[in-house]
Amino acid sequence: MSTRSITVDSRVPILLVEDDDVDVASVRRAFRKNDFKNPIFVVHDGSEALDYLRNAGDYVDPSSYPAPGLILLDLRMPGMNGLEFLQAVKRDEELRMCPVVVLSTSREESDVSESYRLGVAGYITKPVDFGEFVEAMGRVVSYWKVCELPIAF
Amino acid sequence: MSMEEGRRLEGEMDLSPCDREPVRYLETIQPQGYLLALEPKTYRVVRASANCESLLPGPATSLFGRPIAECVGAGTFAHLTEQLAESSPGLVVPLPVAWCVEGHEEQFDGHAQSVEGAILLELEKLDGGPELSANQMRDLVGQGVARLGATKGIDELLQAAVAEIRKLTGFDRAMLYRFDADWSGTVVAEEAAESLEPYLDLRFPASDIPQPARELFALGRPRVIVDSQAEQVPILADASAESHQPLDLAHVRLRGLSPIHAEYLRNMGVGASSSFPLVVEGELWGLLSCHHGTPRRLSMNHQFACEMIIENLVSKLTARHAFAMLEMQRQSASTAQQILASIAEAKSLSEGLTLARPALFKLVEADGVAYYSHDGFQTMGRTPPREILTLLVQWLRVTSKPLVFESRCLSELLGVHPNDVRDACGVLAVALGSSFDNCLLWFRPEVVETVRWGGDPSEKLVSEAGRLHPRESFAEWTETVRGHSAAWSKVHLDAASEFRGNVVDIVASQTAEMARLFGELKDINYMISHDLKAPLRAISSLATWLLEDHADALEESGKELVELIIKRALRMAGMLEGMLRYARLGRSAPNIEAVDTREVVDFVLETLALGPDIQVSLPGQLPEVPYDRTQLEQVFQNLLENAGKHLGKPEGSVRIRCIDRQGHWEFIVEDNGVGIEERHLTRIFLPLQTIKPRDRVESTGIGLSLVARIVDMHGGRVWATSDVGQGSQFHFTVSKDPANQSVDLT
Repeated sequence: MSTRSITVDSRVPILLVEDDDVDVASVRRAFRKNDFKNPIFVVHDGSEALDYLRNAGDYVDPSSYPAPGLILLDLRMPGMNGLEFLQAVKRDEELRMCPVVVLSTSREESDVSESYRLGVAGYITKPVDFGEFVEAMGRVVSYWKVCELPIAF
Repeated sequence: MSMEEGRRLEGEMDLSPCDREPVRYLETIQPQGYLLALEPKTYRVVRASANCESLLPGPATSLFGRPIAECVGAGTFAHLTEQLAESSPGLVVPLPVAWCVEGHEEQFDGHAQSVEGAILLELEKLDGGPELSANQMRDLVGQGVARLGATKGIDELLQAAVAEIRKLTGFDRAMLYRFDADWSGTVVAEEAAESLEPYLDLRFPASDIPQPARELFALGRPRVIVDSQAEQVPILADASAESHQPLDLAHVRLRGLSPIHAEYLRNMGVGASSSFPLVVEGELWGLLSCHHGTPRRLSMNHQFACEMIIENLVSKLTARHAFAMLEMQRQSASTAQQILASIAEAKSLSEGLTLARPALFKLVEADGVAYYSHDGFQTMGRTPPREILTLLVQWLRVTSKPLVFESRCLSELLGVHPNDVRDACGVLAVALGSSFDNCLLWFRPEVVETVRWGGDPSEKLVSEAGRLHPRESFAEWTETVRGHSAAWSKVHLDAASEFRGNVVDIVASQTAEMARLFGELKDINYMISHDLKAPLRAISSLATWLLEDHADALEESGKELVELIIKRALRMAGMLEGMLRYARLGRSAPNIEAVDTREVVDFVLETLALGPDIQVSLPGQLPEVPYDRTQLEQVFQNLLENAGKHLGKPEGSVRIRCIDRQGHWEFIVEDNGVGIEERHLTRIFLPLQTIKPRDRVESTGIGLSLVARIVDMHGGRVWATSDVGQGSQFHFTVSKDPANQSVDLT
């Protein structure tokens, strides 16, 4: 583990792994409503997310695709799903240091416990009511913003 | 015999050494005939009964080495070789024999057969008492067969048979001796001279007809003893002949009688006997036995007539027996079908067994049934006390008995006092899987049986000078047998065994089906959690954004419509959540603990936002109950929420109380709302039922079904009563006994 750390500010990017366009719009809108200015990069499934984090595939240029300080992850996605992504991340010495918060529709016990077993920092069920969603996202990001992060990110 | 064997005998009162007496190899014959053994290829005499000397100028041994062709007429020899050419083991061919040796000419009834290493030729003297002409014989057999045919059922048939045979033979006594499962036997039909003590209904121990004798009878050959006290004639062997192996006399009509049997018959006062085995479906079923006080010979025609009638008896007996068995099997199959149908329809095996109660008893004619599973015992009818049931199942589990097991005497089996199991001392147990961890036990009560033995079967055998002696008295000797149930018949054992197979199949297929359904249900739950809720959320979000971003373009009426869209989406999300909770309920067993209802109610009221004008009162005490705490909270939460929603007005009162009933508590949650029409009272507990127009009440229709499911899982009952316009009362019961927290089935 690195001994150095950085303080989260509004320049630290966030990676949103989400296949549903409305949910992407929800997150962006909720960020805006909470006055968060951090850049959000969006990928649509787990393998794209891995490419992004490893600067592989479509994401080779680290200056265009900088390492995120937080990953917001949907579980149910076509292609590599959220839990599979978490497994891959856990096996990767570097990637596993980045905090991941799951944003899921499901409150199935198995999804929750499996996510935590794979080392997520938090698990949030997306409320159907948009107002509640804005509130939930506000809490996640304010919490994140008071955290210190390892230097790699 | 060694001393040790002698002691064992005294202890066991059994004639078991007779089971080892090699009666078929005793090299003697009865004196009413002669026996010659011939070398198979050369037809030279290699053995001869000692009495052959009366047919010869010299001793019997002078026959050794002589070809038989020199001793019998040419016709006889031709007949013999021709018949034996096609003979097979066990086939005894009758043939007339003309004996002619050095001036001694005599006609005999002959019988020839091939055995291992020899040809056996028996000669029987013709002077067999009164003759029977062919016509007489035909009439007698015809009449006998007709009489047998005129009877109904098995008992009448046997009675007619003994009457016919006694008439035909003129013996003092003809009786039918039927073997029991343990090879003891009972006289079930008898015709006897009036002067004789009747044997009807008397039982004789298995040792009276020991194993080697039964083996010979099972071959189906009659056994004729002309004079039980006559000295037996030894069979002499040619020392220079090649073969010295003992002769197998199994099929020899003249076979000599063992000293023990001779003594047995003497003790019984029998001078002559003829026994005809009844072999039904390949098994020795019984004997038709004739006794005469003095020696008596039957002519060959008489014997033949008897055999004809016996043949007819056996075929009728076989047919009637098979029919009776079929009828019993048909009945037990239809009884089993009833039970299996109940099981297939019921929610659980134990419920199915309860529903099928009368048929379950009838299947094996039992008075009590116990079903054992991991939930413990479920009993019906007369069964042993719980601790003995436990002991029995433990015993069955550890001794790894066959999966269908029966006993008539539980007290002996388990070493308990007979009085403790008087109501149920016979057991028929079937494992409903690969072990008795899951089993069905049928019970029968004690039947005090009086057995009338033909003489005391335990009378000590005297062993003097190395010889055994059978009992001397055959006078009736009564024994009372206690602690035993009626015997489990083969039909019932078969029925139980087949039933077991079917139940095991049903349970296996139900388990597989349950697993499949459960898997499907899990898939559906997962789909609802993820896939159905995502689009709902999108609708709700998009509608919200429409309001936020385009409020100006929408005007007031447009905004109202969009707000309705949002509301409906939220309600649907609530319903989905409710369905998921309902489905999740059955997945794990409730965690039963002592729960303070008052505490639960207070907690629910605190978290629940009932309107400020709704008064909640709790008159009286609320007890501590054995329940799953979270689920009890859900029960009260839903009942109170329901009461709040259905008051039909913003103010009102809700009352929660509890009545102590015997064995259980009854909780009542009542409101003074608009009430429920009677026709809706049952329906409201079904999932997704709401009886109000949907626009007026924000209800998901899941709440009450959730209550019903939880109460049901805890072995309670839930129902509603109502006076329309006055209010409704919701009742549910809670058992006081934690052990009854699953459905009570007895």
